[in-house]
Amino acid sequence: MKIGAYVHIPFCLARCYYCSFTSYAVGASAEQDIYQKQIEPYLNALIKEVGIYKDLLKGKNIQLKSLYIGGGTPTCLSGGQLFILLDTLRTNYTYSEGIEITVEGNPGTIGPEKLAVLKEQGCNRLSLGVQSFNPKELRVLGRIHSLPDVYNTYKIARTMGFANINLDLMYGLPGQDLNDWKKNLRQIVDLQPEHISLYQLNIEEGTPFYHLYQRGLMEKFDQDQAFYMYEEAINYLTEQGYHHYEISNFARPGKESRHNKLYWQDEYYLGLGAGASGYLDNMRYTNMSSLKQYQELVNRGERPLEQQEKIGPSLAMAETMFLGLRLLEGVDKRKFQQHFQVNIKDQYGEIIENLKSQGLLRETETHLHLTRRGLYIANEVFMEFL
Amino acid sequence: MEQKTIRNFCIIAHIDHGKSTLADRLLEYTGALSAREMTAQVLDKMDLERERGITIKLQAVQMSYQAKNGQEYLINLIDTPGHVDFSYEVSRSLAACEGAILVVDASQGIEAQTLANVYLALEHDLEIIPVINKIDLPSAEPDRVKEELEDVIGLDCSEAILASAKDGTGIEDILEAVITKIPPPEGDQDAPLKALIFDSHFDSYKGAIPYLRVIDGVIKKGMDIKMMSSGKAFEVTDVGVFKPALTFVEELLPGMVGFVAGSIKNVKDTRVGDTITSAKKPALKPLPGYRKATPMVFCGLYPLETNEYENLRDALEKLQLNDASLIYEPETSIALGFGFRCGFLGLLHMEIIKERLEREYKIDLLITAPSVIYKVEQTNGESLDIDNPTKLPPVQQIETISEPFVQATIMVPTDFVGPVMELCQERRGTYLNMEYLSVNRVMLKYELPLSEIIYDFFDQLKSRTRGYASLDYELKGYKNADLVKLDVLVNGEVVDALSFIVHKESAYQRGRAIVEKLRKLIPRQMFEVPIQAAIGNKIIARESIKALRKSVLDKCYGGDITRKRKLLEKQKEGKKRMKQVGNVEIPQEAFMAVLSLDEK
Repeated sequence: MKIGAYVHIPFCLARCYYCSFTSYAVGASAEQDIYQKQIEPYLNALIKEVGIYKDLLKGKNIQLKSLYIGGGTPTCLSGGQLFILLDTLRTNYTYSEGIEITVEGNPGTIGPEKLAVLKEQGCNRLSLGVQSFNPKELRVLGRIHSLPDVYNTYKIARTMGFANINLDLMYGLPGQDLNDWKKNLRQIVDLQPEHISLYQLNIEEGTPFYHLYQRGLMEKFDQDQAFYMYEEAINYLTEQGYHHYEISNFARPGKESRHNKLYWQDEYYLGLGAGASGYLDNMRYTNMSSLKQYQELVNRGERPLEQQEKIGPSLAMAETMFLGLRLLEGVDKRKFQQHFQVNIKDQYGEIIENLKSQGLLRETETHLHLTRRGLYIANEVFMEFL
Repeated sequence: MEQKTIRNFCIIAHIDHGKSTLADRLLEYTGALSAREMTAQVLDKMDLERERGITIKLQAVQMSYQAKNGQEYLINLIDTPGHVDFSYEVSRSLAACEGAILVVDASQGIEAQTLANVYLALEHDLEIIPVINKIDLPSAEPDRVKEELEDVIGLDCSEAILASAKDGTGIEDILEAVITKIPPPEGDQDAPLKALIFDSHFDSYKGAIPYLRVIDGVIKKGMDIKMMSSGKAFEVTDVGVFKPALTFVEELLPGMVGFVAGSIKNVKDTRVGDTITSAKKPALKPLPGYRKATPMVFCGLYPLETNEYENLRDALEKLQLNDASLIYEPETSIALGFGFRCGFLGLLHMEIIKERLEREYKIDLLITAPSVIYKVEQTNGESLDIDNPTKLPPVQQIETISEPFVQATIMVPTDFVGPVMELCQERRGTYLNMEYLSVNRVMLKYELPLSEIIYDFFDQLKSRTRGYASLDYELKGYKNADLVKLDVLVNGEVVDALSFIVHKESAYQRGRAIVEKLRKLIPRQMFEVPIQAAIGNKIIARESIKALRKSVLDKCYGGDITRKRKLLEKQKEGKKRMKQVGNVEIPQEAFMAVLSLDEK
């Protein structure tokens, strides 16, 4: 069986104001001491965890078809550490032919040296957290990188032969208007990345933005504005030859992210590292997000689970729907039948008809997929299946 | 225990002036409770009371005090609720006492509610002991407060006690004043039994238990008693006193405060203010002052989940066991389905019931905006009492509508007279008079429609006077007024539960305000939803809620599908908590929107 693997590197030089994911700030100037005091033991534990899963999957003929190293900021690691990590993964797991290996990087923490290591270790897809092409907006977000960092890193990566690059871009930023957004879109297309991820800024609990919001110093972004920005992005990027294949993802034809798709197509993947999530044998699990707890468990030879949940048949069907519908091609009705031994109409007939009559779902010979309107208010559709 | 060593008193105080703390200190000092036994403020038994720092339910406590003169006294403290909703209950507990301690905050001075209760106490010929509390505060001005008391009430404050319930100052002085200044109860042990009910509670084993003060005669175990208002008779199975836990005794003599149990099934048979007498040798006349509690404020209570209707009914039934002033009857709303129209003494009472239903009985409730009782004379000569705006007959059948109005007393620093007058004018108030309490405080009297007070009047008063104003009011009667029913249409259909009655002159402005408010409260739906305000067939205001434009979760970090699913589930749960009216999902708060239309 071919599965994916996600590896989480929970370190950043500084935390961005909007981010609520597991990550610990290590500080820009702490290059050696404090910085290493956190990262070294973590990396050792991570390597042990790789071993734990290797044993667990032994004899099951498992191959990785996609590997995604995300964060945090994986490029917080030194070149040597990146080498060890990638090398450990490759020597412990079987990679299938043509495996997609993505590493996320912050344009401010990745130079030629680290890029060379990545290239050498088989990384064939880079994902850069650009977020904005407007220096003012970058400051607002609390990003540590500058606009020249973006251009430099991108240029070096290209020169070194990275032929599949994703750039992340955010919209709905405080003070951003439609024109600012259009400019961002033009600038991202100018760089001609193979893949573009777009997402709207959300005010998440526990972030500095959330504090501002609670104290009335920051407002939620206007829904109509966000709609116009999203619509503009879809129209413009499609016009520019990008394939809008998933709610927030655009790619040159053939460059759709395999890793991304496996989440939406209900496939299994390992989750490695503090705070990472995985899905194996009908179980979804999430690892300890505390570094200390994560390391303690792993060092005792145990899976560092914070929680796990068995996905029974009815929940699995619901997931197939609300995840599958994120892809613009939608849910394959025949695959549904094959997988669950239930006709999709028997399971969700009434809901489907209702959503169709509201103009949110469309049915073809083979698939069920969101309409354009359904895409904009996909949550309303998804929640019907829960 | 001899009658002349008994003292019965209560404490009159404004909220926050330290009544409960003072009561605690008295209990501690007399050893009725050790400091350890007390979770702060024993008299406030209900959680809600403790949270809000106000006393809702009356309680009574017996203490014994060894006075400086060597004599041991039995003193009963009868607590009084500190809110305008319960002024009748206050008057009954005053009637059970010979004296009152008037507690006034040394930095705040006297407040409207306190004044009203002092006047009540004076009417009952109670001996009043002024206590200036919180003298430990740096802002304390005991002399100014004394002067105010002398000027406003005409009390002799030369012997006012300076106290700090917080640090225990003056507690002994207060107890000494209680035994020397308050007269012992009078009463004839050989006369027919007369005992005043000042409160009651419901015990699931012993039934309704009236709290009483014996005026004449003796009440003892085994005797037959009769409630003079209803004529119902019961056998006394237990007699007891409050120490403060219920403690059984053989009998209660004139002047004593305690309780009886007698398999009385319903608190309705132990009405506050009623007189208990002997069934065999009844008194000729009951004690004066009894009246049935009359609800002044009505609202609809609906279960959010229709299948909770039965539970709601059971819960109301249980609450009523302890609270005879709560009334309810089933009603149906086109928008909300089956529910109950409930009557309360006032807004606080309403809120208490609502919170208890939600907290103790775990029922999610939808409450419609409160209403008063309007009296309608119809063109056919019939008259109607309207406690629900939807029941108002069509305009052409109405001859006149009259509404209850009150006389409101507002005390406020002179700096805020302007804003207060402005507020009263906005609420259709008629100015009656203004009196200076001191150089910088005045007492304003206004006549106001009750309906204008039950909305957000008190909140507005507080916010416009930075919390300095205090308010008291009493019902004066009914007056004709030019009133109309304002309907609200959501997506073209009248939502009956949102209708309210309003004065014609402010109808336009309130109509605008309600549609504006609802536009903000009702979340966007799948389609555009018009919101209209109408009088009869005439639309007077319109807003629309734009269709939902964008609602989508973005990318998935680290493959955490569970988190994504939970977010969706939460969103779905939120939707479930709304009421589906036609095609539109309306959140609970929307039904109370009319309450705060004048917020800026």
